[in-house]
Amino acid sequence: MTLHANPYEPIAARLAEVVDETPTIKTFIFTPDEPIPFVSGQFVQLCLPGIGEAPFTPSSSPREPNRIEITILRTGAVTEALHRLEPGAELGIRGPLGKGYPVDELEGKDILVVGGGVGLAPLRALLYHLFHIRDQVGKIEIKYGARSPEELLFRRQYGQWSVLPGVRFSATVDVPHPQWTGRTGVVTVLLDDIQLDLKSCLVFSCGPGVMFKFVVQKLLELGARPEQIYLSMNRRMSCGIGKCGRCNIGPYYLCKDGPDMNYAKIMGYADVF
Amino acid sequence: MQRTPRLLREDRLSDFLCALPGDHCFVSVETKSGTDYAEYPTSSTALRFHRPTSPIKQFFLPPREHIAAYWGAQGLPEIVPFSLVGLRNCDLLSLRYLDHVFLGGICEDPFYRARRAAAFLVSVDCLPPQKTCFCTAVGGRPYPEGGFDINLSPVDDGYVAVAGSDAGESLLAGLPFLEDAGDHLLGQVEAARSSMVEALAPAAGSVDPDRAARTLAGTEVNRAWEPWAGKCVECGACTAVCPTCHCYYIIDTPGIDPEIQPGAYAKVRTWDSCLLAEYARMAGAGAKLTPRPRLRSRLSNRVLHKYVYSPDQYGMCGCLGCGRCDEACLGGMKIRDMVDAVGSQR
Ligand SMILES: Cc1cc2nc3c(=O)[nH]c(=O)nc-3n(C[C@H](O)[C@H](O)[C@H](O)COP(=O)(O)OP(=O)(O)OC[C@H]3O[C@@H](n4cnc5c(N)ncnc54)[C@H](O)[C@@H]3O)c2cc1C
Ligand code: SF4
Ligand code: FES
Repeated sequence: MTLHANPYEPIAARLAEVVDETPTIKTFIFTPDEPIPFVSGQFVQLCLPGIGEAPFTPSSSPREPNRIEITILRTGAVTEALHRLEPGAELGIRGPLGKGYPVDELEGKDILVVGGGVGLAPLRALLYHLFHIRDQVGKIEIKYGARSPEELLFRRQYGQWSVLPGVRFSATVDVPHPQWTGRTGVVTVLLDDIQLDLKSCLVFSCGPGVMFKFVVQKLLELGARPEQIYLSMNRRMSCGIGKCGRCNIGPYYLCKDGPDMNYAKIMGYADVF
Repeated sequence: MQRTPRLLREDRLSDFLCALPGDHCFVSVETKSGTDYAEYPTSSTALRFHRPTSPIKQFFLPPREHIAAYWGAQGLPEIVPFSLVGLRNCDLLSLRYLDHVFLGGICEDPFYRARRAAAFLVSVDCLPPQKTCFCTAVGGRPYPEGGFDINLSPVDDGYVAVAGSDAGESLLAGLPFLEDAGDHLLGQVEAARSSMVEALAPAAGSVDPDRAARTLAGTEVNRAWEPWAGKCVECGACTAVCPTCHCYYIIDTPGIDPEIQPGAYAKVRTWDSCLLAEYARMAGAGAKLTPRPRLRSRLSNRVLHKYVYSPDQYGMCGCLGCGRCDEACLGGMKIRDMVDAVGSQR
């Protein structure tokens, strides 16, 4: 048998650097043996040889296919093993997978980015892309919520983002500590202060399922239409190529048709959130 | 290439089977519990019996196989040419469905592709239907119309053999013991086919896939599924025997033999079932660990995948009317009863 490209075979990659982000989140910087050109929002299957695979969306700029950053929350078997790795470790990467964000539709639009917890990681790849094409898009607002001040991801970058022309950034935490001077409450509290055109903007959101539910509800109340909203849906995945059946919402496979789904497409199906 | 019908006499069947290409030949056989496949030579070849209990997906998607061997590992399956004899039309249609999944979409599955290319398919017209057969209700016919290399239609003296591919035609053309099939034999084939369609008439109206696609849409979490979920024991038998169910899971393992090849790794794929609670369990300890925590949602997802989503995804109904799930269900459920009951409660 001659196998042509085997989509299940990983590309070898070396772990170059590990950055501690929060007590539960680290960013891993990989150098793959072959460049992995991706569009922001596309994901990869990170494969710990002999241990397991899990899907993650790069948090780095799509313009750097030779040096891929992935920001990972420690939460189970594969991610705990990842968090124990030291630079130099060899891993496998399958991808890029999925469609990614609709980057062709951004031109001329105001962009609202709503993240929760580690959900800011995939959105950062989109932000890097947006900052790169800033003169082609309208205003950019970033609303971010984390459980506590220690869990705020990419803290060192908020200052740099906020000073970019046309960019507004605000964050909130569920549980503040005494030194916290920012907003308190879930991320929807930040949606009362939006300075862009909600009737025509595009919204990109990534975070836990419950957050989506409230974010969508609030945005619709504020006058946005489902067609404007893209959600980075989280589902258990295995093949990543639309064949193993695991990640469906109705007839869509999130690994192939998403993971960033237009809300209008999926809102009619049950068990979305 | 012109396709000529030829007569294969019953006493020449074994010569025919021996002439089929490939390193292996699997034929449908009669067993104590029904019909199944066995490697030829066997004394129990059964081409005039009802369809085998097991689906043919096992020959194209083995229940467990290595699909990646890397960093020095060896042991990817060696796929050798083989013949499959005794396929029914619903089996051929199941390949059409699986082709959409594994050869279409964003990329091909190289293992499925290799097995498809390695297989020589010999189908037969159905004779007695299984009690559970309802192919004509979902638009099927009890005789093959395409997708085979050679089809055999049983007649009094043997079989009328017709090629469906160039490979099939050249094989038939090279067999000296085949005879011309005269018009009276072709008449016999037509008559047998009509009487099969008639035998299936009671089942023919038992479900309407177009109507089901409309009435079931949007019922994912409908309470009407509850009584059915109450009967389901979550064994997954239905998904195992369904010829179009194809869910699988990939497991990472150390290589095929870690002692011999340290530092080598492999990925193994195994069949899975969307009915099982763990199927879509996600990470963490969030409020909702799986998108379908209730059995009724998982059951409805399976039935809707057949009748509602598959027409959207692949342009064909995912239920081929073979009735295998009805035979296998430990809860005694019939898929048509579910479709009917839920659809009529809207
Ligand atoms: C498209 C997409 C993008 C994502 N991006 C990110 C991201 O950027 N950052 C981030 O932190 N998270 C991201 N996630 C979530 C991340 O995939 C999960 O947190 C991760 O799968 C958790 O795996 P775990 O093994 O640590 O957790 P567990 O709870 O142990 O496992 C999760 C599931 O994987 C299975 N599994 C675990 N080990 C194995 C094994 N050895 N073999 C087979 N199955 C196994 C488990 O059975 C379980 O059901 C993303 C998810 C998706 C779908
Ligand atoms: S065969 Fe019947 S009992 Fe078993 S999982 Fe399927 S529907 Fe449930
Ligand atoms: S992960 Fe296999 S279909 Fe999406």
